Amino acid sequence: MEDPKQIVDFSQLDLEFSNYIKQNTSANPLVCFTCRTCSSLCTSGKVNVLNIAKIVRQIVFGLKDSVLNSKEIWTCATCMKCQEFCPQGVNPLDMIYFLQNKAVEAGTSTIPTAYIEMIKSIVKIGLIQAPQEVISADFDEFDRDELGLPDLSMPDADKLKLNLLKTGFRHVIK
Amino acid sequence: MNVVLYLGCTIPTQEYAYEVSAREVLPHFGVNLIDLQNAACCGQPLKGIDNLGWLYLASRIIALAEQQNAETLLALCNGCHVSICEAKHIIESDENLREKIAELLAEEDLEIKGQIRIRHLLDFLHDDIGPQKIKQVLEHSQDFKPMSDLKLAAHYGCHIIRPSSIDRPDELDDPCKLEALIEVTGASTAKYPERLECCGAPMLATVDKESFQISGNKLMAIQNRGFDGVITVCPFCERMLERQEAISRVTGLDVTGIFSMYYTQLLGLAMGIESEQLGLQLNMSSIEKMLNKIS
Repeated sequence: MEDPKQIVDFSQLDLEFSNYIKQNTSANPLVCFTCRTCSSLCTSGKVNVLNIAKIVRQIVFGLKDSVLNSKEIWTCATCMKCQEFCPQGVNPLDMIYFLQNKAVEAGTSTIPTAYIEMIKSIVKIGLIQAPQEVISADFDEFDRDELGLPDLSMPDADKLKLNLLKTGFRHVIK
Repeated sequence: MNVVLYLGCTIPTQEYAYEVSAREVLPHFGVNLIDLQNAACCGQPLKGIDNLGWLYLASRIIALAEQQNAETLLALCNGCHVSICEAKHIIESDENLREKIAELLAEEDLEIKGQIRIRHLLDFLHDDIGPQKIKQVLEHSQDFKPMSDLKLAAHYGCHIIRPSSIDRPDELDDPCKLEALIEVTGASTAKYPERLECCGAPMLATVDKESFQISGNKLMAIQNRGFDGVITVCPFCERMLERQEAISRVTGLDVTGIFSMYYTQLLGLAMGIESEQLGLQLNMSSIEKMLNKIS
């Protein structure tokens, strides 16, 4: 997904970032011995989108900024296979979540629009989307009412928003 | 048996068929569903935005259920279930985060006492009700219609068996509860090599083509192995596996030879409940052939 020929600027490397991840999460990229078990099981890797072993190596190498700005970290299927089967306890999925959190904090432009829309909806109604009209195979339209479903009990979205503003969601809630 | 039902976001706003069929079927097994009040998102899709924000949303569900004095909280979605279970684990084991979350919840007059059982439809049906009881109810049902003409593949979904670091509804390497529940309806099933593969749904937000490729590959494998259809227990998985038209258009894979539906719909059909009462009119996969086959 990135330009494979990008040239590493050694002065820009963040050699402490791996330690920072180790201290703040259950992930530890430093113990990776590059067996690539994670990549061989990765759902997203099977369709050539995410190269999780590469991301682990990039982090150990100090390429923090280029990883945080990459679209690739947002293509994880969260299937957790890497996490389950890594023989070294690197916990690549926890690392990916942490990298995504840090990208949000840094205000990168690569945060997928779909997530921003979900958050907008949560602070408005509490759910990631409003109830939709759905179409049957015969092209009839249905909503909750027409299907005999009870009214939804919605939360106090204002209180929810106030609380979410005290978390890292504030970087996305405008 | 009173259980508090938490629907999450996708089921009550789009995947109505799961809710319709669950509400239709579960009371036949002595289950009294009580809706969770003031529920919001469980946070799962937004873990990547912020860990604390996710943990607050997930913990909030536990606190709300406890406020309703629920003994059992029932989630139908794999994502909601893993989110709430992980939150419970963190609240129990991380003092620092527990305090932060307690502060946020206090703003809404909520607190976590930690006495609740969290169930997913899968372990609720298999462990709390049990295949024996389900079989009895089916056999005593006047309209019992054994699904013996169908060979069905189980699709568990990732979040129902992983991570193994916390309790999950079924085994990491060799889950078997969904197969047991399928067999109770009279249908046959078999374990197949692609059984524990992902549906691709979480990638839909960023790389839709590849996401369809993943669901297409799984459906193609199921179809090639001679199954009539696939049974799911998660709204994200079901939505992916039903989108045969989009899958065919994007990937060129013709997966229209099989159908996909929720387990609650299969169970309802076996009880002789009309397909419209189970929300099957909303199904976007090749369901007609199956309905003809069993009628």
